[in-house]
Amino acid sequence: MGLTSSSTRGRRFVLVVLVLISVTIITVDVKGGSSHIVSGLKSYARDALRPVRQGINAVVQPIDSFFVGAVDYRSVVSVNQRLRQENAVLQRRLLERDGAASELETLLREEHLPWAKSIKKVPAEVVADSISNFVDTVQLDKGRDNGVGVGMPVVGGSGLVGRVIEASHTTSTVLLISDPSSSVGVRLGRGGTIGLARGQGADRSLKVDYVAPFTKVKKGEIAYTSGLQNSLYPPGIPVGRVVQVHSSSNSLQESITLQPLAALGQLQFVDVLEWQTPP
Amino acid sequence: MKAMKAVSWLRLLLVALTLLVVQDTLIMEIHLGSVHPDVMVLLPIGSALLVSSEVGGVVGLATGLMVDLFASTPFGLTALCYVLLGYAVGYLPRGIWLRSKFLVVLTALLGSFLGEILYAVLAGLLGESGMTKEHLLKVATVVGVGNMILAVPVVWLISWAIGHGQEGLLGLADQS
Repeated sequence: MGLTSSSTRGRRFVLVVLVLISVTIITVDVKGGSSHIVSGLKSYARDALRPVRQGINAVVQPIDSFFVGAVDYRSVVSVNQRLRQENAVLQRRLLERDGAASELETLLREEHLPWAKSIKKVPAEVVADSISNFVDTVQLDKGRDNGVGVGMPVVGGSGLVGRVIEASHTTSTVLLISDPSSSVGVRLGRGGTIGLARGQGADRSLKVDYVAPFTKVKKGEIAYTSGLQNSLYPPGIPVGRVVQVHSSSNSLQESITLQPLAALGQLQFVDVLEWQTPP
Repeated sequence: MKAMKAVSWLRLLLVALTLLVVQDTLIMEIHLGSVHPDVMVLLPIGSALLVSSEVGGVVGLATGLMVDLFASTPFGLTALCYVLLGYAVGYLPRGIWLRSKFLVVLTALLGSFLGEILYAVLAGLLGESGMTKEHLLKVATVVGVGNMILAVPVVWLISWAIGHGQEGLLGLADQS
């Protein structure tokens, strides 16, 4: 086996062949002609790498945590205190909201809409970020063997995280709502204004499109998944908090930005909802 | 140019697999503002620097496909990017590695930076990238600087794989 080209023409020939191979593979993949071959290959590769990753993480993570704790001890203590305070506040709010939640649940049941709380969940741990810097995804330690399927929504502690876009036997990949290719149908405020929340990249807020100018939307309001017909997500999952509203007479729509409720950059444990888009 | 021996290709494959595992476990833990270095892009750059454009291109195709197995972008996109990058780097003066490690580090910085821009352009052509210019610049800068630091050990590994110690690196690459 070897490359023996010596002339410029030979070098160009090699380049042309390599580019043609790459472009052919892309074309076949994009057109969907080999979707199950490619997804099968990806599935095998990810399943094969999983034990290696688990082994390395088991060794590296305690060392990493030790150094982070040792170097940044003050920060760890202050974060701990802050979390204790936040926990107390949240527990109080939870009790206050229990009543409101049951009311909402009853209303949704009357409207024959599925309620995210009643959907079966698969708890999973985030084991890796995306290998590419160009896609905002995370990998979970649960796959098809655990009931996780492509298209299933994923929620974090306080809100929507994204949806499963690839699933192997033992792992799955979740496209986060912050990815630029992600869009979520949302319902805003008391009026139930419908909009489409689009990702703008990691660590950035979501932009809400298709909200008519001068619609009454307040800062601090929570946006929930709309669950409209053929929606990718069931209704009622909190998505984000309105952090900016701007109306302009020249604009065809309100300029609204949402801060995702789930801490997308620090995900550790999530729930995969065993829910599929209705046919 | 002498043909690369099969054993060199096998060692390169071993290096590529090792770096893939390192990328997917250790390198992913090192991130600045959600961007992490991309050690895999150093494989076509290093191979092209040490051997030739053709070898850079072939290594780019193989390592790109390996990365594509773990990415959620169109299969083959990383491979195309690495092929073009490896081939282009191969046009730099041969023997740069033996003359100056600084030049290798500089090539890794610029090659990685331009590689990320090239990837974004190719992804854009396929309608895949909705990334803002600011974020792209951040990605290219973090990857470039990160790879600059990783360049020397990775190029050393590649030089071991292609048999630098036994036959002389330039002996493999020079046209004889």
